[in-house]
Amino acid sequence: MKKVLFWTIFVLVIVFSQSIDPSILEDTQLITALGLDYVDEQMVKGTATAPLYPPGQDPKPIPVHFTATARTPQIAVQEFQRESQRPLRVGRMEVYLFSKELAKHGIRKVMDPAERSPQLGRDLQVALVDGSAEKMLVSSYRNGEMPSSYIMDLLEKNVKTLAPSTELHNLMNQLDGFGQDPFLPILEQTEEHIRFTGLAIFKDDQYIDELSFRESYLFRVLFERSTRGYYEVSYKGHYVALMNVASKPDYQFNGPQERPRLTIQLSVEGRLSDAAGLHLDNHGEIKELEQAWAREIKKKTERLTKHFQELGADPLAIGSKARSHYRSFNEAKWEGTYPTIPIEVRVDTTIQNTGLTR
Amino acid sequence: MKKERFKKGWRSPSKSELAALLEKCSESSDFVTFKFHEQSPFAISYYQTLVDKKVLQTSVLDTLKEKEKEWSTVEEIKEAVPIENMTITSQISDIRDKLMSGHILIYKEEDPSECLLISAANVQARQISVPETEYTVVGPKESFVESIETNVTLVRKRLPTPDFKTKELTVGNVTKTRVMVVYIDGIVSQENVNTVIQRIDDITYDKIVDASFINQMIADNPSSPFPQMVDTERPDRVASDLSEGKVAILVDGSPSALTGPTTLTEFFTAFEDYFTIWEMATVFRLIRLFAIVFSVLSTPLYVAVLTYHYEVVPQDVLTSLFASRAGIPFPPLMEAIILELTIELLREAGARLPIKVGQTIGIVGGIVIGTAAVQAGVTSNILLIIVALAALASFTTPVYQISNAVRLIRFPFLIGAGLLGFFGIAICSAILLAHLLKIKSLGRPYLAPVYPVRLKDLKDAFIRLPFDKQITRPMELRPEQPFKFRPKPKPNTKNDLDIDE
Amino acid sequence: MLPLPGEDKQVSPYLAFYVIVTVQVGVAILSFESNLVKDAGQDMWISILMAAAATHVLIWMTYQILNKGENDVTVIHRQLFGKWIGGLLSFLFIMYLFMIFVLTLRTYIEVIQLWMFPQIQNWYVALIIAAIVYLYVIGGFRIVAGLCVISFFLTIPLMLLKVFPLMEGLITYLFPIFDYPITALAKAAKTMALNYSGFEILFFCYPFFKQAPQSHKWAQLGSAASTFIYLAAALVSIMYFTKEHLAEVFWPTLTLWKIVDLPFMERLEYLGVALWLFVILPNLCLYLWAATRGLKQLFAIRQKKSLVFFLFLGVLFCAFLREPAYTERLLRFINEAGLYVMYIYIPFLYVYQLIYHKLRGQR
Repeated sequence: MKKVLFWTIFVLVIVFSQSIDPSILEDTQLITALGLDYVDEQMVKGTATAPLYPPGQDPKPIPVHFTATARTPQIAVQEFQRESQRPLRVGRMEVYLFSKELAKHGIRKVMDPAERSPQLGRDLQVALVDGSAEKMLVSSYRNGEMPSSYIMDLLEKNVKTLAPSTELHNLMNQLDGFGQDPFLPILEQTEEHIRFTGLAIFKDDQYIDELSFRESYLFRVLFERSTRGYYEVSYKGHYVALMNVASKPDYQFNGPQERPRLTIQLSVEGRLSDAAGLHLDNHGEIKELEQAWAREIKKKTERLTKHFQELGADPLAIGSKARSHYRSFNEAKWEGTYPTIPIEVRVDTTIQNTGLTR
Repeated sequence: MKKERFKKGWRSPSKSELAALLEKCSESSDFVTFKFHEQSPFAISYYQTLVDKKVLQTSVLDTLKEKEKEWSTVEEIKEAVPIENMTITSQISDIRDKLMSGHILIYKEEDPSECLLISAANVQARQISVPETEYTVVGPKESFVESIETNVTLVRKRLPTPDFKTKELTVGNVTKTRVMVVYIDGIVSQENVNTVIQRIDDITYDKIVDASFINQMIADNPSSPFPQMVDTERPDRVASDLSEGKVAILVDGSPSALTGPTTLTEFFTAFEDYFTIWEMATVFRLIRLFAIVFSVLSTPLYVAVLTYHYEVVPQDVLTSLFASRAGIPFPPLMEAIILELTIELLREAGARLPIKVGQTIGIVGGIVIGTAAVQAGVTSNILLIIVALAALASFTTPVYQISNAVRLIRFPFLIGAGLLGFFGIAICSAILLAHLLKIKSLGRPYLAPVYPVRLKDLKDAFIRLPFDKQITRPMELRPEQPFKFRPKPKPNTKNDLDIDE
Repeated sequence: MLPLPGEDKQVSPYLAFYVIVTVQVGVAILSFESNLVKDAGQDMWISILMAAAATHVLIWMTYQILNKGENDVTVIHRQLFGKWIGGLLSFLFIMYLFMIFVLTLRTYIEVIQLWMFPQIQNWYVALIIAAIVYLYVIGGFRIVAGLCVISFFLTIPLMLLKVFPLMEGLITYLFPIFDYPITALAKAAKTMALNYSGFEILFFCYPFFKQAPQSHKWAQLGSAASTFIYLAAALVSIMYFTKEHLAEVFWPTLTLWKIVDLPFMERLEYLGVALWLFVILPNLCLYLWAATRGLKQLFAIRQKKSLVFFLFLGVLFCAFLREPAYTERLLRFINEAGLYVMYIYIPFLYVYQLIYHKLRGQR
């Protein structure tokens, strides 16, 4: 009895294993980047990079691109299938791009398949393209890399130090969560390179404005704890570069829920790295530089927050922070309150040292 | 002295029985029977090949010749012959057994009711040599030989206590192999000793050539690939195991001893662990454990990832995986099985061939076939690395038997991975775990001290704590004396010691 | 009165700890956060603690009942309610356990289908798992308890993976504390209480512990340990997801693992789904073991036979429970039944037994 049962199950398991669809690595083509362009209200144009690896000792992947127009990104992938040599798989997708044009019409629709799919990672890098996403993906660049891995490295390793992280997970949290709006890096194609130009600011899921590259950096300082990066401060007619050693924002709400006041306490530690023409000899002078620096940051960041309030967008997640601060928070009223709350940025700067020289 | 073929025609039943026995024996050409002289009532019989010529000549024949005429009973001879091990018996089965183990038979031809048996066995044993499979750099370098007496000597000289007891049994209805169950009374659980003796008694098989026969026959689960007793060639390890409360089995003709009850973790403890400082021993044990897990799981994981779960591979690794796999005609499962079989082939060939040729085969196989296979595009070089590492890792087990088990269980895992990816591997692990939970060694749980959880026994399982922390014997052996030693009370100076002292 | 199991079949009382932890932390831990967040938001951890406190009381009651009855629930039923009504109650109890078995199996199959093999058939996975369950249950309670121990230690590394999302999480999402009204918290606690079900298994395995009353403290500790595991999972999820997003996600824990990024391996949720087999396996084995044991006590059916029968039935159920709507309905039914069993039936049994013994004592 026992043996009969065992062998029956064994045979059944072996025989019916055929129903599972394997995706043997070298028999598939992995889409590493997907770019979406706006066609009209209904349609999107999808472009995918799916490199082919030739056999050999040290092969260079051959970039292969597919372009198709469809109603949803997933159907576009299905369309690519008509041209591809091997079955396409999306599980290793690293970069998800869409054009500014598309972003203006709302991104929720195109983000849905990415959120839904169990195959996709939550660390998928999402970015906006100034221009055509298709062109960015099919072009070849000076460094000879695949565009997908170029963009991936650029976003993951470099832009990360200049702007807050914009992985799929953060984006989904911002889209769904209360009191915060998404922001995404904008990439621009130059002749031989891809360049990070700044952050796109969204209201709900629609693109409404963008920050320049310098503003993005200030935005990052306001948004989260940061290290690395440089500030440019004008001091006594000279331009001084200060390295960010560590900065930390602290959001403090005051007043009742109906009329809240927000103070952002920003403490920044820096190191002087470029001060040609200046001779910072005494302590007083360094203090003075610190103050000039603090004034500069304060001026610029307050301009930034003011701008956000005017737009009605909340990329700094002030609403979410307010909700964490006030008990029985009225979420419905917040939209009206947000543009009116006074926001003050208090900056506390410290210059650790002036480098190797005075 | 003239030899004489044995004559027929006995009267008493005992006489005829003895005659029948001797006649049967004399059909072998190396069996001799002769008288001192024509009138002597005594006859001498023995197997030339089993008897030590020197003993026969100097102790027996010379003594007998001295007072040739005076002998009238076998007792008188027994008195005179200067050898310790002599018996007088009329039991025919006894006589037969003793003859076969190298005794000289002296009997009265007319009245063979009492026969004298003089022990003169010609023991041909190898010299005690250095352990080969369990060699250690530090520590004793004696190993067991094929003679059971020598082996008992080797253990006994390490355990100079009358509590060290041996119980001899004979198994195998053709080979009549002598088996000794040894233990230390007062430490060992008598239940374990009884289990071992009972099981050895129950063996019904014609030939017992080696200890491994016993190992398989008394195992609680005879069809398990996991050995259920530790097979060792080191007398020091046996002595140490005995003093922990285990039972050991020595088999005549086998250069290894079995100790038990054992646990799975014991197969990952090398005896060398006790010769190095405890931190080091702990690290090495953990490395060994990791090596075994790696050895079992690495190839299946490769197959699972390449067949189903490409998502888990980081991008940097993906490129090289792609490059090495591109253009290979076989699916990953087949590729892995082919390569694993190749390694097994090399291993088998290396084990069967003489040492020097074996090494050559290893080099030829490993290097030439490996590189050629990769260049020919039959296998991917990443898999080659993985398989070679897995094979290497399976050799880190200190006990040879378990590395065989590891070799074997890898294949079901591979097939599981090929069928259902990670899920298949999990299924195989679940089945393996069910098996391990069910195995017992001499009635004691095999997975102890993990299950049943015995926190105290963990001190010498995955880790080895220093000797002063090893106060108790393993609980799962149920020793009668649970304490190894009584720790001396330390002078309590630590607390008030200041830095300036 | 049926005889108690023999000495060699019994296990040490401390194993109650592992049995309770593994039976309470089942497939539910992969998804419970998104159910709780709808009612209790960031305060769901309070609901978890509330449910935990109630569970501790229930376990205490269970032990009071069992200590008085000194045998498993079938014997107690017979003693209290007579052969027919007691037998019927025991039978319903057994059916309840079997339905939890089916539901757990079905949920795990769903995860496998979602994450690994969309094409795989229900019966195929069910059959394989049934075969493994057979291997364990046939070894008796000792082997099943061993599985619980191993499974507990195997899942500790999975818990450690929470460190990765924790590093990305925001503490501010935990505030304000006590923002939700007590009614909402209680509602969430009711949902959460279901995740603590499974300790009913004690009604069957009690006689299998040596010095069974001593296992009480271990069972309580086990329940506390599962609370700890649930709390850790809940806190990490609240910090990692925004409330609104968390309510949308089906399997928060599995989604959390997506972020794990080791140099040699990414996307640990695939490994997690496979390893989760070791989390649900003790559940399945315990439920089925208890069901077969109960049938043996009731009708003297050999456990080997009823085990095969139950497994066969379980595979059939899973094969036909293909539509999510049916699974949903079954889930709701079991949840309902679970609440009755835990919060009405156990207290009732406790009080009834108290009165019964008092009256009999007077007589």
